[in-house]
Formats: sequence, C-alpha cells, structure tokens
Amino acid sequence: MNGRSKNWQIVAGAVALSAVLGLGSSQMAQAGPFDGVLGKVVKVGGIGFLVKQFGPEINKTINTLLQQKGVRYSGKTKVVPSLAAGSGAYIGGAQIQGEPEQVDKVKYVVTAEIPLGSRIRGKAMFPVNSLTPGKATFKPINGTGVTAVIDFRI
Amino acid sequence: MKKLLNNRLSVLTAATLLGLGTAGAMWQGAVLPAHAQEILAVSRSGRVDGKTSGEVVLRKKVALRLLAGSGSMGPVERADLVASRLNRLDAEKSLKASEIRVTTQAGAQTLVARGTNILSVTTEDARIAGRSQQAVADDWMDGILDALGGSADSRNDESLRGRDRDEVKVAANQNDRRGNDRDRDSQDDYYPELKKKLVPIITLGSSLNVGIAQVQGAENDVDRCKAVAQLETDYKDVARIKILVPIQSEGLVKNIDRVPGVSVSALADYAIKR
Repeated sequence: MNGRSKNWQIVAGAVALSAVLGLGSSQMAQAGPFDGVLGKVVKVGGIGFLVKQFGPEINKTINTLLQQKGVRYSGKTKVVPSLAAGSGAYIGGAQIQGEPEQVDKVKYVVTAEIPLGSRIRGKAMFPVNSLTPGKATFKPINGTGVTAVIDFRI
Repeated sequence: MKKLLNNRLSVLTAATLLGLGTAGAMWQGAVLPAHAQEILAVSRSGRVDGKTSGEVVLRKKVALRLLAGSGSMGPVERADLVASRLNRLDAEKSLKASEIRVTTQAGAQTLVARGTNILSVTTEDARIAGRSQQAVADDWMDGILDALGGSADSRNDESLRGRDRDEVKVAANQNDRRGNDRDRDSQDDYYPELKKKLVPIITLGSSLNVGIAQVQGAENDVDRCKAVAQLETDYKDVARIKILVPIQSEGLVKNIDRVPGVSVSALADYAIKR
C-alpha cells in the first residue's frame, strides 16, 4: 500500500513538474495550455504539492548551495509553500529559519509586495500556520523568518 | 459445527479489526503511551488589573504569570513558548524540580533546565513587578518548583545558585571571545528573546537595489547585524530566486559574514540599475 501510494506521489509530482515546465515554455511561446484559469489552478496546485512533497530535499539543496558560499544558516530550517501578491502573483517555496518549535508550526509563507513606481518596491513576509485568515488557529508565527525564496509567476 | 465456525470467524474478524484500529490510531498519534499523553505545561491567557497576562500552568497549578512581553512577543505568546520548552524537556525525560536553576546569561537572570533556557527576566518584568530581576527570577523558580513538587532545600540553596551563575558567566565570556566561530548547532537549547531593527539592504544579481530591511532575532545577534545582502536572480519573468543573508560586516565585497539566528521580515528598496 505504501509503495503504491509512493508511486502515485511520484507520478503526481512528475505531472506537476511537467505543468511547471510546460508553463515556462508556454510563456516563451506566449500561449499554451496553462495560461487559462484551469492551467493556473493546476500550476498553483502542482507547485504547492511539489514544495510540500519535496520540501526536505529542496531545503537540503538550498543549505548545500549556501554552505558552498559560506553563508549557510546553522540553525533549524524548513521549506514551505510561499504565496506572493502585489506586483503580480507568485507561488513557490520559501526557506524559513528560527527557533525549532516555532519553525515546526509554520505551514506557509505569505508575502505582500508593494510596487511604488518602476524602481521602488516594498515587501513584507509573514510565516503563518494556515492560509485561512478567518480560522481560529490562524496566526503569524513569531520567531521565524525567511532566508531564501524560489517562486514562479502564476 | 458450522455455527461454531461462524462464531469463531466473527471473533477473529472483530479482533483483527480492533487490532488494526488500535494500530492505526497509535500510528496517527491518537493513542499514545501513558507517559506521552501527560502534558506537563499548558499556557493560557489571564487578566491582571484589566491587562492581559500569560500564564504557565504546571500540573494544574499556575507556576508563572507573565505581565510583560518581550521583543515581538506578547505575554501570552511568551507563556506559550515557556510551556513548549518545558514540555519538550519533559518529553525527552521526565523533568524534575531539582533540574531547574537560575543563572545569569548575558547579564539577564535566566531560568535554565538541563542547559536549556526556559525564560529570561527582562527589565520590563522587573519594572512591572517592582522588584529586582534576581527577585523576579527567584519568584518564577519558586512557582515552578512548587508546581513540580520541588523541595525547599533545592529552592534555598543559594551557594549552588551562585556557583551556577559564575559557571555560566565564564561560559558566556568564552562564547563572546569565540565571536563568529560560535557553533549554533551545538547550542540547540539557546533560544533568546526576539528583537527587531532596521538595517541597510543591498540587492545584487539581476538588478542593483539599495534600501532598508527589518531584521529580527536574538538581541545580541540582531545587535551584531549591520546589513542584509540579497542575492536575486530571475528567469524570463517566470521564476525568481532570492537569498537573504543578514551580515555582520559592512565590507560586503571582501567577505560575507552571516549573522546566525537573524532573519529578514520586511524590506523596501530602490533599483539603482535594472
């Protein structure tokens, strides 16, 4: 059962990755199957799924790259899905750091971007434990912060 | 005979289902061993003189009542943090009253257990209580010991406390001397209170930007942070990669020296070159 489930996860991951790659090529061709609403839903779901599924691997890769540059954060880090809105909408993964018990609580990173003209920009990043602001348990997690972001335009 | 067989099959099926159900529940964490089910500390909010306070309840007794926040944390969040630290220690191995100590760390009275910081007394705590920081720390320790069933001997052994303080002072000085070489991995138990400040940020990569960033982290780490370097690149307006590095030297070109424990929470910048 576990092996079968794992296979399904790999297949779903491959489909999602294809969606992301397809998106890239469609952008270059200025048209494609992922430009519509459904395509965007697939893209958001696919990237979110990929980040959730392969977060530890992505985290390890980022840490290895930063280690090579000598700027790795030495405490606890984790990669969670990130959403950015303001100057366009983006979805991807964000590496967060902080106190271990606080990092464990973080489920997503929400970024609010404020473009002021073409040259000035402002940005605030909120590690949160839920994406439902109305939910009783929703709250920004203090004691955590963002160290790296990789995201894709929706 | 057939009826007997049917009965046995029913019992076997019921037993199998019960076994699978129990195993599933244990796997999901619904049924845990008795020790794991007991939670030592619970935090909750309270009211003192019309103001919100954070309370840490140990074994149904209020052990600590926090009236002041610290850094970006309010009193309730602070109590939540204390409870989670106590529970983590207790989950590793049952926490005993005799393991709690008051020590001095970086000039602040701090409750410590098994080398893990539980809570530091801030100047605001002392001001609200109208007492010295040491007196407040002793009160908190007494509250925890009372709740945990600690003995008067361990509470009143001033000579032991004094010795602990000296040992920690020496250790703190050694850490300061180590400076940048401090290995945070070996200090998983080091959770100082949070502080925020604004520092310059420079963005390199696909564009050259300068601006201001808000950093947060432990007070002594944030004090060391002088700037933030952001490495940014993008691919055809489709994908973006950003790496935020709080640094402690302004000589960015020569050497990027990361400040551990500091992260960026917000930024605003201006593109000099695009």
